[in-house]
Amino acid sequence: MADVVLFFSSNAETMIATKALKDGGIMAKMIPKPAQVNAPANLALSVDVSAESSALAVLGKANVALGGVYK
Amino acid sequence: MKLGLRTKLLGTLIGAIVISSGISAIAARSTMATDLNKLAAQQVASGSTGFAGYWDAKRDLVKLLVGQAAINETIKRGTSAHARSLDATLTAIAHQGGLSFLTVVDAHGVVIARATGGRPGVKLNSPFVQRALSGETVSTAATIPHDELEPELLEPQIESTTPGREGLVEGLGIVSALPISDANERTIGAVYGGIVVDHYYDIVDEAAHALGGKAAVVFHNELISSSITRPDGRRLVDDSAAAAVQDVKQPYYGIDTEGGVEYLVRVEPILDDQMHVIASRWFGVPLATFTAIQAHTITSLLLWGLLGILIGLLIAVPVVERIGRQLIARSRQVRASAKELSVVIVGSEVSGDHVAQTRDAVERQGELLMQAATEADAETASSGNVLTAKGVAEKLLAASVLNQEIQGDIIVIDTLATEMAERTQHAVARVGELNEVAKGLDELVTGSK
Repeated sequence: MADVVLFFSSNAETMIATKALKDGGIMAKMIPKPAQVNAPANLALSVDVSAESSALAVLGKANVALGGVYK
Repeated sequence: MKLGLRTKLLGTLIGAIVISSGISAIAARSTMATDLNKLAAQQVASGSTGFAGYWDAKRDLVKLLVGQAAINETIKRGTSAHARSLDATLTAIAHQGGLSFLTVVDAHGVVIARATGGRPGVKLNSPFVQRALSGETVSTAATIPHDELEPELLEPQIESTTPGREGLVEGLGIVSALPISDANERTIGAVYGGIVVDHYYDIVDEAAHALGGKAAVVFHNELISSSITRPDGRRLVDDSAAAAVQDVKQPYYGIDTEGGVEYLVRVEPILDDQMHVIASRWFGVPLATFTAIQAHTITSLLLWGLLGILIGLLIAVPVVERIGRQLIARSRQVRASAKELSVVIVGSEVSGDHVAQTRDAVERQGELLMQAATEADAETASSGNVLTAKGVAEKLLAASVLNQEIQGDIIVIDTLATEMAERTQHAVARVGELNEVAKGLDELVTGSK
């Protein structure tokens, strides 16, 4: 199953997002930022494509600013 | 020298009470000085006025007694007849009224009789007698010259009672002179009488008892009558008045020392009926009366201030002790927390280094796996043993992919460790600050490093 990459403005934001998704019951894997993604952070999150909308909802509810989504 | 929190707090409390008491004492002293000065001025002025009243009353009494003598029928007849027998009548009147002398002269001023038993037949040259013979009624304070005192046998009264001190040659008197008229209102003589104030204590004692101070009469700059006492308890008389109250021509108000005691005094000139200053009335209240009030109040304030310090200490010491103990407890908590945090920081730093080493190892392992898979493929192509070689290469490739995944995870962990290391550096600074805070609290409480 394909994954989508969520990236953020900083590594600290990425860590906060990881914790928020975990608390929201969304499986997310922290990965090194793909070379194709242009973002200041070195880390990104990989989530299943089917869980993308839920992940975005959880992040919005937790007030975590999303840098972008790479598919 | 570093002072502990307890010393500082208690010192501040004591200092505040001491300063407060000091300022209160100064303010009270200043206020009382002003109020007591006013009160003292009023008391002395009032006493001086009262003393003048007693003086005037005595003058009126002399005038009354001499006046009664002037209209006494026996005296009139005796004057007309130049009778020596008037002596007894005059003596009785003088004794009854407390006069020092009472003398009757004829129309020429020649003495007919004296209450003191002095020599008659001589001319009396007193200007008051001359004025009385001219029909005038005289009542005044006056200087009585030696020439008048001697024939009246009053010279001993002005002599000094102080051993080794020469007395005055003149006396101070309250005198009155009135003409004696016959039935036709012709002046046939005059009556001259009065009180010699030297060593006469009725006036000063009455004034002192009634007015609550000390009274004196200064004549020729000597105290000729006073209620002031010497240090040995004797009456202060026949002694020089202090320089401040000598030759007083205008009312004087101020501090004067007589008999070794400081007085707040008012001195008023005594005028004769020609408005000449001939002596002065001195009235004073011991300065200690007022300074004792001030001293007592200041002492009371200081004692109450001391009591305030003791009460303040009783209340403050337990409070300060409790605050000190609480601060020490908080300081220990902060130190313990800082120590725990320092262990976490060191552990984080060490584990971060270890993650970096692991990342390097995994990276090298991946390179080796990729190299082995590539070399196995080339070897297979040359030897023809395809199945075995192909299987090895595929497994090596799968291991290489797995290694890449592990490497990705390691990179993530390393990045996280690096991120945490930056945060840890901040935490290190904060822990250092916490240690400084703990140290500062210890110094604050104990006063030593």
